[in-house]
Amino acid sequence: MGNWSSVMSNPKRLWLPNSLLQIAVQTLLRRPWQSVLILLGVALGVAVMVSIDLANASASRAFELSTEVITGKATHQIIPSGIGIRDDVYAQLRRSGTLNLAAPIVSTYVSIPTIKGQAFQLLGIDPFVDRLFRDYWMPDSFSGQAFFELLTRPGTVMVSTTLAERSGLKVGDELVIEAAGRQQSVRIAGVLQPSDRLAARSLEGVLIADIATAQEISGKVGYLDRIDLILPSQNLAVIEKIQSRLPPDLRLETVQARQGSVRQMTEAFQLNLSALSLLALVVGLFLIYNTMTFSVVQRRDLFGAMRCLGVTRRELFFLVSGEAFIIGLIGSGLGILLGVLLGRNTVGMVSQTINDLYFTTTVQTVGIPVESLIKGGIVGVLATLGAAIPPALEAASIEPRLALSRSGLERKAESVIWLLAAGGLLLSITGYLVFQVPGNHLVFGFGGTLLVVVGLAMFSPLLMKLLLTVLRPALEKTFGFLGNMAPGNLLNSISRTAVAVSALMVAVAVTIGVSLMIDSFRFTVTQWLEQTLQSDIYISVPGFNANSSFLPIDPLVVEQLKMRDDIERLDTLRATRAISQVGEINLSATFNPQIGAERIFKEAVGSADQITLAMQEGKVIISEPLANRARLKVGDRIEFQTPKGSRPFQIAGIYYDYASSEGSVLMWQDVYRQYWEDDAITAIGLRLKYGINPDEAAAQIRAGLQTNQNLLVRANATLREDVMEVFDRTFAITSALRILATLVAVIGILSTLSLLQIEKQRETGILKALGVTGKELWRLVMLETGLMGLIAGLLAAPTGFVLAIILIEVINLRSFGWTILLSINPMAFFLAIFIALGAALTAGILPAIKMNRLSAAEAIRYE
Amino acid sequence: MNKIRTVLVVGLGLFALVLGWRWGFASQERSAAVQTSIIGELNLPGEGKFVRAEAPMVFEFPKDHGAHNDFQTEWWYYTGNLASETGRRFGYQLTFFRRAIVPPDMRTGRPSEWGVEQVYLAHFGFTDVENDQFYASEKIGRGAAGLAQAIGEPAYQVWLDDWQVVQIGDNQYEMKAKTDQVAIELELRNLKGEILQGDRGYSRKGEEAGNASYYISQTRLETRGEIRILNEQFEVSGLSWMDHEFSSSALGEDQVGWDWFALQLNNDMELMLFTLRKSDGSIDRFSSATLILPDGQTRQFTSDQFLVEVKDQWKSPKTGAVYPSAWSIRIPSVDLILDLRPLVSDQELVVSYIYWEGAVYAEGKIGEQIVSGYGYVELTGYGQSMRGRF
Repeated sequence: MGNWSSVMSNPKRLWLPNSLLQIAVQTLLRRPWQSVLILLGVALGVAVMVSIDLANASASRAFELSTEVITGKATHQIIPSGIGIRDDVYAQLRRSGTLNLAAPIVSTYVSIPTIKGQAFQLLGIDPFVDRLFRDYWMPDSFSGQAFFELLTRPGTVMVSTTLAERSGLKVGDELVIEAAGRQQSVRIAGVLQPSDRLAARSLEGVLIADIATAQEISGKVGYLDRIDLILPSQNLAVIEKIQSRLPPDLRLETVQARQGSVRQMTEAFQLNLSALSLLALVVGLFLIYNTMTFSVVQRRDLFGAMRCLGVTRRELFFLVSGEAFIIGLIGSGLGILLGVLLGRNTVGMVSQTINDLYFTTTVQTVGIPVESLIKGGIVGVLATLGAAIPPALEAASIEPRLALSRSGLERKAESVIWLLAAGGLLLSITGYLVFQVPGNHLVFGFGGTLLVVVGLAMFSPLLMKLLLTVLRPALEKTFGFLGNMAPGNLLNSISRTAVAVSALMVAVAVTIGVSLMIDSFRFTVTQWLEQTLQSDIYISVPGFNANSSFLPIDPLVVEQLKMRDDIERLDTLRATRAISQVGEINLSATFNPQIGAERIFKEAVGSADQITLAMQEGKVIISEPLANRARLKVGDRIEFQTPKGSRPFQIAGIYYDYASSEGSVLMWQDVYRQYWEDDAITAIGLRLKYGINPDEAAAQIRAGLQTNQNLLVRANATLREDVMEVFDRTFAITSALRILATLVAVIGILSTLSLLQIEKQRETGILKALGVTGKELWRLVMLETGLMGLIAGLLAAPTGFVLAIILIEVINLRSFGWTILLSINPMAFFLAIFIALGAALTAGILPAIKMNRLSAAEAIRYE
Repeated sequence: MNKIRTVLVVGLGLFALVLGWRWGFASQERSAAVQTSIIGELNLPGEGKFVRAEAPMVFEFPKDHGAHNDFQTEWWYYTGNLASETGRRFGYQLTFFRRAIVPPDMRTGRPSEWGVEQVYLAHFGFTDVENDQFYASEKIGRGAAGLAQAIGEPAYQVWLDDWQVVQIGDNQYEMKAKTDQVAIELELRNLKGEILQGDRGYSRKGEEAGNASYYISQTRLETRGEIRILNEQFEVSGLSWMDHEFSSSALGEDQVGWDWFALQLNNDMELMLFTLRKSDGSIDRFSSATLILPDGQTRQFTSDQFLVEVKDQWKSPKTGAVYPSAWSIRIPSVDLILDLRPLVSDQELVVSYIYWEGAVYAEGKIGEQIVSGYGYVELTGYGQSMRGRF
């Protein structure tokens, strides 16, 4: 390597000379097919990554924008544990001088029947103090009259310019909105003129009303949702003083912490997506490595000659890297474009899921986050360069005097096979050990997964060699000399075929793994629903969160239902958010005497009846994700801030639950009411008398209820379908991703095979000259590709299984805290082998046609 | 009676303020021009639907110390001169203004406690004589949801957030107000009972019968308590003055401002005097003065019976406004001559509108008796013209 230092000491030669750059470009142009395939591989990998990153970034941005306008300049918030902050508590806090810079907020999500699919936030503010908190007011936003109306006229709101323009609304118009299930008409008092485009976006889904109006519209008369504060962050004494003066059920939190905890919930979900999106790129890297290696091998003679002409090792290294760089650049560019196109779908899918599961965003258009594009481009180019380093080094290692035969590389490869397998074993074990790192870190989870997958992929050459050797005699018997020749060809070029097989194997294994995980998850959720949803009809207020509604049902509804004679039992539930030692969590209060039997318990104090009894005595049961997240066990206590002070509740059981990864707590309703003095109800479960059709009863109830509230009355089966719809929606993007990864792998196979066949043109010519027919040639190619596909599929099956177990036991448990029961559908394996075979055979068609077209003479003359 | 005008100006100012919050009403940088332009946008709710003061009424206390929400405007105006044990002098002003923004016949009785029909504004001024310092601040809030209110039963109290005056016994009140810089915590004892101004508390301000207000004062409130300036604390005692006035009248067009004087003399007498300044520089004939005798009896003087001579002027560095800064008051019929000077020149409030309200010292004689005392003076219409606001 003496030449390296000489190059380094001669700065003029540090850069690739133009002539070499020309060589690089010409090489790419001379093999358009090859170049297109490799570009496509890079582009797809980058596109998938960019589209997911776009989706994640958009979702985060939508969250930021949605909260920005709502949080404004507030540094802290006072939040209630349970129903809300009573009006008089706020007045008292102000009058006692506890609160100085404070703004009360009543907020609720509303929908506008004429605008489908968007949530709007009705933000009730006290304009007298809000000016200091939120700067959505511009001097020209409204006339004095508008402000006067907003303040004094019931049912008046200010809307954003966007909404006004979209719906053709002007000042004085009436707009029908639906809040807490009630349709009501509001009057436009004015149109907010945001100061810039960003402000316009964050205001897009906001309706601003006086706090009195917001209370009246949302049905929260008498209560505030929170109090915003501006406090000097460094002054802990002030903060402590305020906290000490708050009633026991109120808590002072920093805005940062509050948003952080919401963020944290989505982080795991987003990280999972990012990890999966990187997979396409990883598969793409195999492809780049493979192609670049080929092009180096093909040009060994050339490189040998160039070395004789005085081209240095460094220059050769740069030549190959330069090619990779050009590919990376163009491929990434295409990938970004493609990613933005794909992003149109992914952004919608990801925000839908986040809205379903985590929080409601009112912002829809966030624009394209440029960082995602830049990130995608950089990663794409660097990854391409990285994958090209081994072939570049290979090129640089060529000795000038020796134009080694191609098989030289293969001989080397054979010795490497065992090394690789040993390395693979080492990696897999390391991966396994990484899982054992205490602390449940998700990053370690993904790191370990990557190690295991790459480790298992490194076994491919060895297993391929063994399989081919074993299969060869049988194949020869079945297919004659072609049956012998095909595995031989593969073995002779194992350094390249194995990489293609590995890439396909990884892609297919991921398909199997993810399918198994989703199937198991689906199965688990179905079973859980079976156990949990035992009523015949469910009634709730429509909300924006797919999981649970905290909106109270009109109390008259219960009275009316009690008068019906087709109902055997009526269970009520009060769901709310309460503050515990682990932060704000869902707290539900139930009256269901069979609650102990209607949950599947992971751990509990005793039988179903004993659990119910324990709850009636004041204990609670908590969901598995909460138990995992907060490391709580049966017998431990969970402490809630209640209006009557801080109260510990002993845990009587931990039940499986898949409704929220944040977790929830179930309490007996009498116990809840004793502490919270709140008799609102957010869900009703009805059990019908024997022989009554739930669908018909539901329809009857829907039609018969005398209330101005628009309620969701769903038969058991309908509710289940709705839940499963959300489930499938959640995994729609995952399915799309694994298909894309497989697509990249197919391209890899296609490109590998084309290259292999091109390389073997001479041999093909000889074969033709020896009288091998076109049909036989077809068979040969198909045998070769079929074998590659088969081996990839066979290897993918166990790898996929291992991956499924990792996804279930490590990734899901760490990300969301829930246990998924492994349910194996053998079809997944068959499907995987089928996909691998199909992909490989498809990839063989083109090379086969090409080979057949060549006449023997032409083929031999080629060289 | 001058205060009726003040009330109305304040009322409009208050409403302007409500509109002005989008410009950042707390800003000290606001120019008079901007203020005027806000006023120009005013869009008052339907006129004339408020109850008007048309004849004397019978007051019942403490009930009538509370708010009279059917009248458009109302205020509770406290000023006082205090001294520490070592003789350091301080002055304070704590004023609560109420403005009805929905006339009685348009009130709907909303389900939410937060529904706004009344808006409250409060000013808190504080004078540290020794350090020549003046502190002023302002609060605004809705007269709803218990955030700001004035009630008379079972006991009187008025508050806006944590600024408040609460009746704690017969003729006894507790007052609290604080800002980041200054705080007062005082106990007030009413020594002279309720002084009903004008005709049994019915105070005419123009030819028309409805152009009047109801006007009640407590002119001698013995005061003691604690004050805090920055981090210094003082035990203080002294005398305070309270005016409570409500009306729904509109003002004439030719007044540009007024000068109001309230003096508490060491012979147990108080003098209240105001002059209304017209655009041509003359004094309106409705200007008047009241001398409160030690037994609570009053003597009224019309504008032709007294004379106010300006002895000095002070130019505000903040607003450029030129205010009178020393006076000589004469009421020849009782042989009263008093010379007044501010305890601190700069007692200008630059809040949502600009005016001067400050502690003064007075000395002179009434008949043969040498008298001295402290009091408060209010000067409006110097920082910005009141004209064009009505």
